[in-house]
Amino acid sequence: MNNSAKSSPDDLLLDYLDGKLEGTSLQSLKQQLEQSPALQTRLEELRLIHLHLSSARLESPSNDFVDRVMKNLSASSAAASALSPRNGLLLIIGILVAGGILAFMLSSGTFDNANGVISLEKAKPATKYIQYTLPSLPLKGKVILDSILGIAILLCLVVLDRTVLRPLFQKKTAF
Amino acid sequence: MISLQEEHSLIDRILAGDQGAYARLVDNYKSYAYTIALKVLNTRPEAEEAAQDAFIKAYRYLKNFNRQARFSTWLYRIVVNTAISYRRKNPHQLASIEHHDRAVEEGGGMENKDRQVFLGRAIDNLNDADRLAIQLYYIKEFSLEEVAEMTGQNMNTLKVRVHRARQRLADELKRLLKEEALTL
Repeated sequence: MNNSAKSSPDDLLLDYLDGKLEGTSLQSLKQQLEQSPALQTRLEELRLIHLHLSSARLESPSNDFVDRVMKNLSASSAAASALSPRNGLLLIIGILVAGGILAFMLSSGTFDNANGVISLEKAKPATKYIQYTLPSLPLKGKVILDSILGIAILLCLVVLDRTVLRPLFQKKTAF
Repeated sequence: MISLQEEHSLIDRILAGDQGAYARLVDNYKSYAYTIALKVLNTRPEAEEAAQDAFIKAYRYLKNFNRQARFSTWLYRIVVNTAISYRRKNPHQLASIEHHDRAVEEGGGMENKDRQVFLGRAIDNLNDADRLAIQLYYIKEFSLEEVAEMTGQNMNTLKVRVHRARQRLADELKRLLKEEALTL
């Protein structure tokens, strides 16, 4: 605390209430208090605050507090061990490498001709009593692989969030 | 209360994989952690949840704990930060039920109860940093160094903050009592 703050009457009174004044400072304040009713009033105001705050005590949590912490700890340890940040990063790298190869193959036109038709007629049960024709489904390899690539990117983002970003932010807010 | 040596031995066991040893640490510090969370949050269920969460975080990051510091001050810092993040999530839960409860529990004359309620209200009107500093400063189980560490301030700043907060409280109490007298 600086000197000017020390010299303020309130600071002297608060030091007095904290029991930090001694010697000549204490004698000087006592003399001032005897001569100044305003200072006495202020001391009483500050004493009220001091007494109220001094009643603060340690509070006790519920009886099963420890059990609940240990139970939550076991649950969170099980969840954390499922995918560590290191494993998460390895998984992301794996997905990105596979996705990169796929994207390269797609852009180089490897799957441009991978089109076909799935005929449901072959799956029809062989019976002479049911007479109908089943439709055929067009199959476009490029569209399917584009979808797989999209899902892989989405999966990467989810893994990144769950295994790397979320624990990192939790760690930052903890300290 | 466990000794520093016992505390280090418990930490060694926990780091070696003995999760059960952590229960001893939790039991030792539960009241301190809960009290800190309560001072930040003002509501008992939320304070309990935040204190539990803080213990789980402390366990998770125990390997990063620097043995040069006390485990208690490291833990209390985690509790303060966890409780503050809880309050950011639920800023509306700031009503000072605790002050009112305390006033009722302590009994005394009507004048005393009124004064307790007014003081509780005056404390609520302080800014967050001042309120937390002054409430922790007055819990005799916490040293000034621990409160400074918990609130992330140096000791001189903390002392000045506590002095100023008490001055403000005295002024606020005078104002509230004057207002009350005028309405009678």
